Amino acid sequence: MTKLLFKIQLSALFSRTFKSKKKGQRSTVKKILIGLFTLYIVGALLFSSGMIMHGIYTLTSSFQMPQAYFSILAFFILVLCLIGSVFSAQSLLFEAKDNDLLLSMPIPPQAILLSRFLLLLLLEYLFELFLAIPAVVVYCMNSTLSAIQIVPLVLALVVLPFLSLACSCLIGWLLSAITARMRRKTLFYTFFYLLFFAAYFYVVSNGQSMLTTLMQNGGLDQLFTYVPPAFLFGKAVYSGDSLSLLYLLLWCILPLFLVLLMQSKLFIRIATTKKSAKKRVYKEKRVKQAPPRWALLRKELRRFFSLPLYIFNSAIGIFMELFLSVFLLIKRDGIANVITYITEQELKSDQITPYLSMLIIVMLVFCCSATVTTSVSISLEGNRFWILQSAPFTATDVFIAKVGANVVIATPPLILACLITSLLLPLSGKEIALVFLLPLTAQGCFALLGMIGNVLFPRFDWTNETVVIKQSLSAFVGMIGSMALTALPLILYIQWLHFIAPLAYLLYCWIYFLLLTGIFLAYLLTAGKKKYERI
Amino acid sequence: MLKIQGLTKTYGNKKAVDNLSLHICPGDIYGFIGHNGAGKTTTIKACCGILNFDAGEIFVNGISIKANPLECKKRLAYIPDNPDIYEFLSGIQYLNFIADVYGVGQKERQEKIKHYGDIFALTPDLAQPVSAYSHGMKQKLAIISALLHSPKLMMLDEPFVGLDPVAAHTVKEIIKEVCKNGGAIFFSTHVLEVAEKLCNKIAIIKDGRLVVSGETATVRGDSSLETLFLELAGKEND
Repeated sequence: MTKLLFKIQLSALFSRTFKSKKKGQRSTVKKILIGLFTLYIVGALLFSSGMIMHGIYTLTSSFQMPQAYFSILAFFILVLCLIGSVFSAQSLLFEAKDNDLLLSMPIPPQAILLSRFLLLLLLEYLFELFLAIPAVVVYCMNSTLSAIQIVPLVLALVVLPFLSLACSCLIGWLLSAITARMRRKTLFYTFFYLLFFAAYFYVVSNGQSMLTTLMQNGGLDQLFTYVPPAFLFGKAVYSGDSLSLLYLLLWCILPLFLVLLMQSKLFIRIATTKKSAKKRVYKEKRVKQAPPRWALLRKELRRFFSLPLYIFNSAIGIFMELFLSVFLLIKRDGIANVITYITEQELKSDQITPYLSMLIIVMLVFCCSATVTTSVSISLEGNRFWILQSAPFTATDVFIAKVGANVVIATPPLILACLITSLLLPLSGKEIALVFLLPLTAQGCFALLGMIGNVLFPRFDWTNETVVIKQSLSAFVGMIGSMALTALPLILYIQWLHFIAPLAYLLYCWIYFLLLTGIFLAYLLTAGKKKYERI
Repeated sequence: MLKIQGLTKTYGNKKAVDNLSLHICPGDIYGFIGHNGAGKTTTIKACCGILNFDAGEIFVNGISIKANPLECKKRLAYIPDNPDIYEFLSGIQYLNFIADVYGVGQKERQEKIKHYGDIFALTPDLAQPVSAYSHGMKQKLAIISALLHSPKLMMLDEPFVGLDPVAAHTVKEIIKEVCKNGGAIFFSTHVLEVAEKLCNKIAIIKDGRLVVSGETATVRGDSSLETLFLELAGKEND
């Protein structure tokens, strides 16, 4: 029974990617496109992980702490798996929409729970592989993995996600319990995500120096006493210590077993408890009539702010811009010192600071490429698409509202970041103009690209917003397309065009994004309209 | 009010609707009956401009749905069989959204929301998010939203599913009122007794083709609608 349920969930997951509701199997071209995009993402992630692990290896070798390499790997795996699966655990285990159906059938609740645990475990193994494979490759390139290390390594990698799964399930359960009767769940999740985001950025920007300091002070061993599985992993793999391996197995298997036991006993109660916030009292109020397009835009904004997943996946760029603004403000003395140093060294500041402004503008444009809410905006209509279809809206009305919502969401933090940049750096009038014009134009361009992607690849057969926001082809196209459009002029500059002055380069980039915006707009209002009307 | 001429819609190799022609006049309560998969929803959606069709024409108050879909949509209201509504909005937010879409003035919408909210006993729940509504409450909300702009033509796909008896009775009264004021109703249903009592005209569709249409009394003849429907189903099986 568990195997059957697991198979159904897996096939549902893959059919969403490889099949289209309307036309059955996706065309071969689309499948190849999906395959290529997937390969690109996988390759990029493996490469980045490899770079990180290479840095870790260099650090641990320099401190002659080879065991620490594996301990740090285990720590990263645990954190990545935990963060990657905690919200999936919450929605899959405690907020699944097929609970009533499955519980009405002669299926033991334990089988339902176990099939979901297996799906989550599969997800964790995927996360783990993105770190483990490059880590092993890096180690083999620089050292030798002996026979006595391979078996403990494989065993340890198999059981390590058990611990993070147990923790994800517990935290998911707590989150579900806490938010069950909350009215402002979005606010809670936004705060939670922001905290995590801030911590993530802090660790990423200071990770190297933190590790170095820990190693210098002998603090690494102390750290791992607080994370015994990481310490045991390192010892078991590096030294081939059987006792450490046994303890690691216990550390990982026992918590999962206990969590599974506890939740199988409570599953029916958790799955069938009706959760609702305190009832709001309706009071008749005078409402001002709004024009139809404004009503549509307002609806789009309300949907955006009601879905934390939407905010943190399709508009992560606004947080990056806010953090960049804060970073620039905090480090403004450092930036001032850099400029002072340059002038003291009699290096002409007008030769150096333009590169600094160019760098910040490029970073802002990258942030814009991570704010593309339009890429899933049509798909999110789902079964409610009939409302737009039956209402007296043209395709243009719908596009204006959805692209407009993207622009309204993205613009304030972007303007703030541009303002801070122009205030902090000694820029000329032309540079200040480009600081604002280039990112704002790029943002509009990406919003249009996302809209085109969703018109071409809409997806309505979802039961959970996670599917469309994280797994749909249009989300992929919006994200990768925007990043590719941003990277292209940068790659051209680095490879061949570095002789161009920064100001001229920024001006050409602005023209490039203007042209793209024009092309996308023309497509959307012609072929895009016809495509939308045929959805 | 609504003229369907030779409507044909094909999905792949299957003709969902085949050369269907119907004429709905002001004041008509037109029942549309057929077995599952007969083509009722396809016909209704085509009339509302939601689905494109392969052949034929549809006119709403003399305006072609192909040539001028917006003008047609302004004059009609559609309620699907499963009224999925934006769950992130509250009931009142959804009603105000629909009222804005159709350009309903502030005073008029307030009066109508109060009136229909009270008769459907939904007013106390209008501040709740739609996600907290039961199926029947969503159905009621969809019906209220469809009435806000006083449509001349209402296209209802199985409107009585999920409604309690009081609400179902209220919907019937509203339907009669709309028709008394010169509007028309075209609705599909599986509940033949309701169609028999409420509709002055009936059309029966089978495998995409119109089998019979006209005044209810004429279509029914001496037997009941159920007998006629089963007879038609039996003829096909033969």
